[in-house]
Amino acid sequence: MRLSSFQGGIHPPHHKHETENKAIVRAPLPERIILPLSQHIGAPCKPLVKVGQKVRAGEKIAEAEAFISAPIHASVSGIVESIAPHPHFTGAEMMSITIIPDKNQESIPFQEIPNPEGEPIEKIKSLVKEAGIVGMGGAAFPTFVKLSPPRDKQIDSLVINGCECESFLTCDHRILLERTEDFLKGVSLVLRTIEAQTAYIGIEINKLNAIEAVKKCIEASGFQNIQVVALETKYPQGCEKQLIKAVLNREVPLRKLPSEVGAVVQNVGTILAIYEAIRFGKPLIERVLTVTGPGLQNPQNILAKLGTPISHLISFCGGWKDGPPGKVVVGGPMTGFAIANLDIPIVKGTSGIVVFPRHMVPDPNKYWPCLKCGKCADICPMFLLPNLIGYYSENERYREADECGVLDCMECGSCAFVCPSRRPMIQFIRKAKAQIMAQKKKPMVRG
Amino acid sequence: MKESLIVSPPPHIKTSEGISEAMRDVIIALVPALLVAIYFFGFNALFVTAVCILSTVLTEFFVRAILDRPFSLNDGSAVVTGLLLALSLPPTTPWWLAALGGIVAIAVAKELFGGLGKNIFNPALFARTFLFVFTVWHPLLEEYIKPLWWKSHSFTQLLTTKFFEHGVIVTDLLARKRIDGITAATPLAIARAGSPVFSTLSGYESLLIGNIGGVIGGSSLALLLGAAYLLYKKHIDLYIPGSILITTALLSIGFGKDPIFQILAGGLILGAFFMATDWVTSPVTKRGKIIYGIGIGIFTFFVRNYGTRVEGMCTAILHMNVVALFIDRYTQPRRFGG
Repeated sequence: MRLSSFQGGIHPPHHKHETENKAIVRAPLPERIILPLSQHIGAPCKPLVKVGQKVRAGEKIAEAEAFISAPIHASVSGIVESIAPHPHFTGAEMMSITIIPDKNQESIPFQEIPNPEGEPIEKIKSLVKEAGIVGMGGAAFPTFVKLSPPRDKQIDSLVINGCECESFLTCDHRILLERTEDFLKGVSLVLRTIEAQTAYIGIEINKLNAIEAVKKCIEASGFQNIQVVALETKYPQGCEKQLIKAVLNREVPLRKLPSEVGAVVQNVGTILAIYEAIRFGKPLIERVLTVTGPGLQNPQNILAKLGTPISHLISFCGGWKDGPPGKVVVGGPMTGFAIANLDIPIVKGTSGIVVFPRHMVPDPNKYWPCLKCGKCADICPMFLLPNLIGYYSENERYREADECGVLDCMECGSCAFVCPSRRPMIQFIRKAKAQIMAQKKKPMVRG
Repeated sequence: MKESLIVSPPPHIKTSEGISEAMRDVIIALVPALLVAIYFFGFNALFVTAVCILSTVLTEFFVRAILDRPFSLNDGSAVVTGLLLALSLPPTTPWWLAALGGIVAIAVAKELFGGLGKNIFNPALFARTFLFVFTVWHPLLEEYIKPLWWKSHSFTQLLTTKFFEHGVIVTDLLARKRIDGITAATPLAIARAGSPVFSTLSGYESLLIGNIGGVIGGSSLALLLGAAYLLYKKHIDLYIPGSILITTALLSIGFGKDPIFQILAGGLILGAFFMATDWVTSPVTKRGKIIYGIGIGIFTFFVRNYGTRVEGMCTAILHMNVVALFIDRYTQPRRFGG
């Protein structure tokens, strides 16, 4: 089989075997559900409920007027305990609605559409918006915006990101295996909504059973215009621009969106959420995520209510293993956030939780000068020179870091992975970006 | 659940290949050349190598202690520098000169610039040049030992031989009589003197396996074996050595020199694969590596064939070291989507 891929990239250890053969299980309800008012890129929502109010599952509890935003729904029925700042996985505190779930869980009636194929496109888009769906691979960009690409761009291809190129994570893999038909119906629906000709499902070759299952289902159920593309197992295969290069052999211009080359990219989990929202009228109130890592007793793929505290999921997976925990990562190990507080809840974009025991976590402050070995430059999927960027940022030479293209970096972390000096490249890159952006904004402030 | 967790930026997994693993691989890659040298030159080769490594390691330990810098010997780079320095010296090098080389390599070329990663010059080559060009003892380094000299000595003679007593067991290439007491006798030097060197196949073979008067790291074949290992481990690539070799071959043909001789003699293989590819002092970009390699090739060719001295490779690399960073800045690759 000829495998499609992109230039550059790395091969981190997969660590998928821990969970890839485990069916998705539903997590029990926690004592508390915490729903941050911003679970997406864009304007934060304003609460629609008051403390002490009773809410039902699926009820809209927060909304924003801004265009780029996504409403938030109660993921359980219960009483609103508080609306107050609560720790968030990014490290900051964020206004969050806390709900105490009740005994007899009731939900609002969901508006089913048994035959969504006939529905008008605009209705589908507004249903996706109302359901609060965002990109569930981690970026959490409101999905209805991506379903409405600019009118002047000819969109011919829908690219589905089934790469799951992050180590440890297997939730998309399990969805492809367990919900194959629903997933493909979702792909058809989105293909029609964006008025593209062909959908390409990119799946890395280390998920051979998923490739076969999807292919078989396409044939058996007679799905039209959907192709499966087997991809090389390489990180960051699932990054939007790299995926488009691998699948369509098109290069998205710098600082431009995929629509520039006629493509829209959606992640597997997002497609399933869209399908469930249209077909069953179910807003985004739960998601599949992989709770795993060498520091956890029983790693699993879990269907959990949004707002479930991470501590609850860790207990559900049997607690710590291999000594005290050293690091708990929200998201994948390459791009995820390390958290300090286990009361932090999972949100719409949380694709996984990875736990590392203390003895496996090196001191992040211990690193060495750059040896200019060039390994980072060899693998940078954006063809940057991370060694120079890191050097300039470290020495506060931000103008030179800008000239080296630090703003074009998508922070995939490949350079930091290969660095023999263990340099904190992402830290250097973020520092340089923040300084350069601050500099660039200055002249715009008048008076 | 109250746990003290470590919070740091991503990625949260990193390669197990750190600096010490890379240095370990370089040491492994240099072992074949050292073994061949010990076979041809006897324990002189091992002795000089041991002195160089001891010197670089001790110097790094004491200099960093004095400058209050963190302990760094475990990264293995001092051992690599010592080994590379030894391979670039003749087996007859007096022990005190070898030790001085180690001190200069670490104290001046490495730690004075800020330590590993901040040095501009390749420490081993810097020290070699210092010994050959700037010390009054350089004639001691221009006498070369005859390969397999130990075969004509009895075991008791070997035991009583002063390994570092220069002049006693020094001969020139292919049993050619020495011109006088202290003149050089490497293949390159002979070629420069205008004598017919050789054009027979056995001559190339001698150069290839290192059966020749010269420096410890003279076995091109053993060095290429080590280089293949480094290529396999992806610590180096072919851009720099390839462009050096091609440039040398083309210039040799253009100026009527023997290209195979030019490539196999004068430490060109050692320089091209192990010195010019030194991470810290060479460019990172692909185009930069090619420019750097071509520069070294041109420089080497004209210095060794038409300059005042024969140490072409050494000076060429040191000169190109200076411009490596600038080459990188002006050869940045096209960005993805740009």
